[in-house]
Amino acid sequence: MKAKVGVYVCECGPNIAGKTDLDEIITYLSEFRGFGDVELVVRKYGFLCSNQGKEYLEKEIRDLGLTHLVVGACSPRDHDSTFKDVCGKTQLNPYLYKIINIREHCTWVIDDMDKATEKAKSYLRAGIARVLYQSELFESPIDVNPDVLVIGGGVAGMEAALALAGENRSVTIVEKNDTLGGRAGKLRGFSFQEFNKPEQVEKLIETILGNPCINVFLDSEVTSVIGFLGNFEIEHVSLESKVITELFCGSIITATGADLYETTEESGFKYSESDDVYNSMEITEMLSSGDEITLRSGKEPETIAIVHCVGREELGYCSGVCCTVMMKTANMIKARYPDIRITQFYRDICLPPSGGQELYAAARSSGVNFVKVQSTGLSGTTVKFKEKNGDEGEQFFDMVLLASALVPSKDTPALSELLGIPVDETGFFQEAHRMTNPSATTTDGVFIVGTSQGPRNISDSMLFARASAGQILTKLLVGEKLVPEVAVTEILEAYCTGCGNCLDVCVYGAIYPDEARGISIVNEAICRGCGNCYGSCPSGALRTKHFTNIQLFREVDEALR
Amino acid sequence: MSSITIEKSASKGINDLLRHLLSTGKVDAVLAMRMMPDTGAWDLALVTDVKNLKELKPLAPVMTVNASQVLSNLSLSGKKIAAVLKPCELRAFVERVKREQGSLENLFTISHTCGGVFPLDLVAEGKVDRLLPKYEKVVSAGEIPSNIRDTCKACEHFIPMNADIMVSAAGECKPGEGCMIYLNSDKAREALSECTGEHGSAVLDSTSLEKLATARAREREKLFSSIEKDCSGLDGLVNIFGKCVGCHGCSRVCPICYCTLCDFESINFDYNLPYFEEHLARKGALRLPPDTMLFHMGRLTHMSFSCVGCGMCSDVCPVGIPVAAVFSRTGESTASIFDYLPGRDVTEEIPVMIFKEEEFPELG
Repeated sequence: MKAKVGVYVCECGPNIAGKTDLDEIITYLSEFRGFGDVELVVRKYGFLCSNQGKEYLEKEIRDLGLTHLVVGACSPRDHDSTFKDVCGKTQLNPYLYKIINIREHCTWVIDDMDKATEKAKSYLRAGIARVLYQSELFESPIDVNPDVLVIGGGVAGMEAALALAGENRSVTIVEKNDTLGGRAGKLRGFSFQEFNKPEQVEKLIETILGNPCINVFLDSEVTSVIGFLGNFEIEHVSLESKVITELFCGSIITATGADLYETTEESGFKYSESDDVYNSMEITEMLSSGDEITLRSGKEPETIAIVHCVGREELGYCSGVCCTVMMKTANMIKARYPDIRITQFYRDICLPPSGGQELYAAARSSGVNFVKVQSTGLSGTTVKFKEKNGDEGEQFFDMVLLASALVPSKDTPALSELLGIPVDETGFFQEAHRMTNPSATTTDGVFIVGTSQGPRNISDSMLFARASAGQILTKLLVGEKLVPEVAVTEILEAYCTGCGNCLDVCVYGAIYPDEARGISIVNEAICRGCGNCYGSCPSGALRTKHFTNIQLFREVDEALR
Repeated sequence: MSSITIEKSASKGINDLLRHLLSTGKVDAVLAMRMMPDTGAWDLALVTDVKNLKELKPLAPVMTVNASQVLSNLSLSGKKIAAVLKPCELRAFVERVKREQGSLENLFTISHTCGGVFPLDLVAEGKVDRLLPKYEKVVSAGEIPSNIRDTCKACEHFIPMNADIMVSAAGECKPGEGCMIYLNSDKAREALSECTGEHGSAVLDSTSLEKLATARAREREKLFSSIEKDCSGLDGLVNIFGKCVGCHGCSRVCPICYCTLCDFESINFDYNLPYFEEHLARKGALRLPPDTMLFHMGRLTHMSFSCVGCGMCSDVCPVGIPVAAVFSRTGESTASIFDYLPGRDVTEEIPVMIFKEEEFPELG
């Protein structure tokens, strides 16, 4: 069939019409013979993105029987999908259309009308050249599984599960320990603002266990994850019975928490198990259980040191939550034992805007001593420190509390591999975008919440849990179909040598080796069409649909003609 | 290093060794150069029956195909194969293994100190037999035969790297005076523990090869400086590659050009109206087929740093372009930037496959 390309130039009010000679462009393109016997229909319109404009375009495509469409208008970020949808209503496959940006790239950046007109001409020519080499692509919606897997049954995981179950989503929690609750469970409510309500976490656990939508597997670990948003296949194994359970879900929430930094002798912390040295978890457990605070000898301590920023130097980041915990700890000890003398050795104090300042002020006013130091070390329960002016000192205490940093839980690297989600420079899971999409990951359908993503307190962890649940509830609708990306990469098997370059550069894990045939295979359902592999293939065996070499070559050839 | 001395010439000694490996079932097949006795034709042969071993001439200075190419799929078959490879073929194979095009696991790599190979036209004309006695004499004297491939004359890596079994066949080796076999791996020591010959311990006497090394270095210098003179700048490239007829023979025989089918032969390099119009508008005339230069530039950027200088490409070029010399010379520069030596070590990563955030900051 002879190609009949419609080229529609949008005036965009004065934005385009006022800065280019549109009639000149139309005459030039109408008379242009560089595309052989391709028939060109070149027209302009006021605002193509208006309802009338869209109706006009739809009618033109139908009435003229256009085989390809080029729209010269604004940035594709603004209206690419607008005109794609118009094509979708007609006989024209949306992938035989191309938007050309003659506003941001031409009229908005070039003052000289002649130059802007020339540039717009070459851009439009390039667009026509490209569109002639584009192929029809067909979107095929797939059924989605609305169920959710939550890995980790701490407060973040439980909160997310509860939010989802509230909308009647079926949720499975896989927890490697024998109880739900995670770290917060051990604190028995300590970290909540109201100290006297230790049953908070217990209540949450009870609600979870009593919810018919939530299925809990304790003592279990996820061992296999395959699939993609809407269709994951999971295997998890019971650590005790070794029974493997299969599970299908549409999205995954990772809520695997964090561990506490462990001090080393090399970093100046020398003490043994018999010394009265405790980390923040141990002391808060002691405090929240209601037991007396005693030394291992059975005596009551007279002096307690709180050493801040343990691991800060080695890890290179501030955990942000330890100061608050230690202020609370000091205040709780003081409330119960006003005679114990507490000294806090700190480098910087990092407190959240709400509530933190009050805790600090309370500690100050109850007589807690604050010493600003450059660095600290430990020998038994003797704190060694370097003061601000460089002087070194040491002081003996009955008991020492360490504000240890939070570090990624030890399962993080294995899970990162399993789920195909990267970790950042601190070793915690990396979010899709720190500011604009902090609870999603680069793998569609996999979310991270709580301290698996970095140090944060309980309320923030729960907030992120609800954010992830919200994303899942709006992204995976029950009964709706999902339209996977169709401009993905395909492999031309005859050209593939199985060298594996593409496997190394694929960030989505969409390529796997077919060892029997010695070639690589692209799973088009996982592929996002980023084109990394395309660039890495020496024989041109990989081809990203809608971005083929020949499409790009022709576009560039024509733009530079 | 373990060694075996066999009181025979090197070529007879290596045949004994292959017979031992095949007859004791240590390997399932042997890959080596062969000369058909009735026709005098040369080829690379895969032998599974002991009675066919006598046709093999494993040390012959002939390379009809770079053996690393055919060894790729064979090495993945799961069968144990003893492959007699020239040092450059072994290095090329290591480069292919790095690209997932083969495996060393089931191979016994046997290589030898190499005096260089005859160009294919001499082989095709059936002259090898006649030229061999003189070749052997010159090589054992540690000199360079005048009629071998140009890149062989200039090859400094004539001692095999990392072969399981190494046979001394140049320099120190005197025909008929006994053949030294060096066993470099446990695999080789185990397989040859019962091989006849005097078992001992020895290290290749590289001093006897110094003369050859010096002569090769001199030739290399000569070849490279002539290539630099002829092939520098755009004019030089046009001068050298202007003769190219676009047959792509050089890439077909290149052991590093590992793609089954080449991107240059795909639809991506089909030319049509806009291409012709654009070029003709600027120049008024266009050489056909187009982009022969781009093809060579593409190959140079993709694999020059892995070039082992085997010389196959120059041998098959119908218009006499010194492809191998250009690639060797370019490869030496590109590989040295990364302190890379093709085929030195299978664990050494290919420079272009490593991503470093900070690299060549001076290039911006």
